[in-house]
Amino acid sequence: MLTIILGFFGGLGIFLYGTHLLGNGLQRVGASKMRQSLAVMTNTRIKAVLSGIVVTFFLQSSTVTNILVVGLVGEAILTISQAFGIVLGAAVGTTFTVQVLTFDISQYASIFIFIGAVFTMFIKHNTWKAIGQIFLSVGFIFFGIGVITSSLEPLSESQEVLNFLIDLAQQPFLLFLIGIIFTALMHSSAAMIIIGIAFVSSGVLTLPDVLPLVLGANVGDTLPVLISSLASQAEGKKLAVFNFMFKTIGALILMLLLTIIIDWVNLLPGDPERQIANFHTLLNIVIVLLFFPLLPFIAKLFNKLFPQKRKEEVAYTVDLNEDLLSVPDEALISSKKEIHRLANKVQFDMIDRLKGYMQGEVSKEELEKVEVIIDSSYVDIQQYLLKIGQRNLSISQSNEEVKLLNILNDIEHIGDIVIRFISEAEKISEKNIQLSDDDQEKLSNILLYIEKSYSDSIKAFKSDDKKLARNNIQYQSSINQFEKDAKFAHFNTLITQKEHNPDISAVYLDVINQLIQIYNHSQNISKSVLGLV
Amino acid sequence: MLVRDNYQYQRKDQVRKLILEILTTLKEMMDQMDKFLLEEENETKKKILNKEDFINEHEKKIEKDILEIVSLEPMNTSEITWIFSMYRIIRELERVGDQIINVLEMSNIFEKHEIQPTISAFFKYEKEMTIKLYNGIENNNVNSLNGVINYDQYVNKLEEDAMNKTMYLIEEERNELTEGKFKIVMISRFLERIGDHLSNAAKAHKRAIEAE
Repeated sequence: MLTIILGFFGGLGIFLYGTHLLGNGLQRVGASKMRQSLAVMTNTRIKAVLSGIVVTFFLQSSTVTNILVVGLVGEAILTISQAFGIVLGAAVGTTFTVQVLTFDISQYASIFIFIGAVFTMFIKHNTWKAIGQIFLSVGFIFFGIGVITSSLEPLSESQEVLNFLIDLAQQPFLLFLIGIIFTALMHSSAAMIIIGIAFVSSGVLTLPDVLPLVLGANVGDTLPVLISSLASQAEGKKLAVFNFMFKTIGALILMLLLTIIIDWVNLLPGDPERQIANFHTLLNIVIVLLFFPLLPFIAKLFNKLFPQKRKEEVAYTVDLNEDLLSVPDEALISSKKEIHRLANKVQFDMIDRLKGYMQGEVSKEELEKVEVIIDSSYVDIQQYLLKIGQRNLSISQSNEEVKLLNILNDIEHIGDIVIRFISEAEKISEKNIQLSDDDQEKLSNILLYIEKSYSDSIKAFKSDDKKLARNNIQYQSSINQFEKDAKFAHFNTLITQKEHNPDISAVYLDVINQLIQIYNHSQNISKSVLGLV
Repeated sequence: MLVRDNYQYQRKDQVRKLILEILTTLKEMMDQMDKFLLEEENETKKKILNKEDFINEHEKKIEKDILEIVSLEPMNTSEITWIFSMYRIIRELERVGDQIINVLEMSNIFEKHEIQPTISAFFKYEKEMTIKLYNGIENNNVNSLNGVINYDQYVNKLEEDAMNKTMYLIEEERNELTEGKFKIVMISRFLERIGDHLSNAAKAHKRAIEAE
């Protein structure tokens, strides 16, 4: 019995690791492309369902599809009704994984593992390494299935175990519950169904016996997403609840009709293993057909149940979902959105108000409050980005991460410098310094240059506009010259006016230096956008 | 561990790639010149002229890239030397293209069977120089670049021989002297200049490597 248990859990471990590796590998290769496809190809509900099927089959994970969809809904690229369509499609797409897994190719698993190991260990090219990882993971999956199946075979000779399982099979709702719980624990419906298939192929259970397990697996698969969505935005909650709801309702209806289903499930084509896979696909198609016509009504209902909080109701906080970390592309998009939001705050609440501050219309305290928000947001976003960096990133993801870290750092520095600028500018009134009209005009001009440079940098950052970033950078030498001209004119004014008060010069030059530093950091944002990192 | 692609390096790499493409094109022009002198096909002549246009286009692209590199970030001395060297190289290579076209135009005027052996002899060395220059730039290989510079002496020798041969004909066997044989001195001059330009390009790239 110990050998059976060790074999079973060993096989299950290899299988789960294989699916985890495969999901990561496919995601690295295709998550961003799949995201683009979803955004472009999902203009009707039927297309939404079809793209949900294709994308989920390619990514081998309905969870990843759902994460991509939450992001697209958040950016208003998809409506919630289209998103529900994709979720329905994802339910069918994920069943094709089980279809593929029921092909009896476990004897070739070692070849896949060998090729995968060679590609991963000995080839330096990143694309081939990623392909190697996919080979390796497919090998592990089939090897795991082989180990699970062969470990369960001796059970058919143990009368005690058989009796226990036969008793269990008499209680389909208990099996249904077991299916839910174990699937939720393993985070994989495929694993649960493969275990069910292994029981059938080793002769321990019959085909009708495992149907409740399959139905339970369908529901259990939605639970981890549902639980993690509790901390997420309204869109994430809507999708997770919808996913749980439609699968649970569908599975419960079929559980109630189980006695009828058992009669005709034997009519499905193929051997019992294939019949289970076919049943799994068919049941999801039926559920999809059931819910598809109701999508617009369900979407309306969900919008009422989960209303979007109005922005003015919420104090400024960083909104980053830890669940997205498992899909680095989506986590990076989300980080970019937050950095852009923070950049806008710096623009509207700090930079655009500097002129008002100089004219005495904005108080020091108002700007300091913004700085506190910037500092805490900086810490939150940077921590999140560093967590993304700990993942196995592709080169393009890594480049994006470096860009974001640099831009975030420049934004935070701008906040710091504004505060330093304020403390210098305060000296003007403290020491009762009278700046000349020309000096004041020069300061106003520098402020205008800063506003323009910062605004262009943020626009370039938002839309990845390299041309705008380049033009902005190429203007820098003119500003450098302007700074020198301003200082030169200032010295000449002092000489002409026979002014000897050293405070005037010290304060004026310090103020200019601080402003030029803000300008330089806003230039750095454009440089990062262009890739000068 | 994070990795990053620097835009400045990408642009510099792009300049290098474009220069290598120009070198490949120059080699093809020389190959097609050989073919043209043997078979005299208008199609071949057209191809050679098109390749010259291709080089001119590439020269403009490289100038644009260099301008961008210079305008984006302040540079240190070795980077400025690199920029100067690249600028010099494209100028030299563009002139190689011009000289090949000069040879092509001259070959229309003369009897090809008279000038073909001389041109082929020059091209034999200059193709080799082009290949070595390609390798030198692609792999920052100083030995290959020295090879280009050394080969220039053989090209110079060919020009000297062509000159001496013509002088001999003028002085000793004037009845053997045709217009084609006489004016081969002019063509040799063009061909010798090709060697000089390739050698200058190699020297420029050597300076860039040494500055690094």
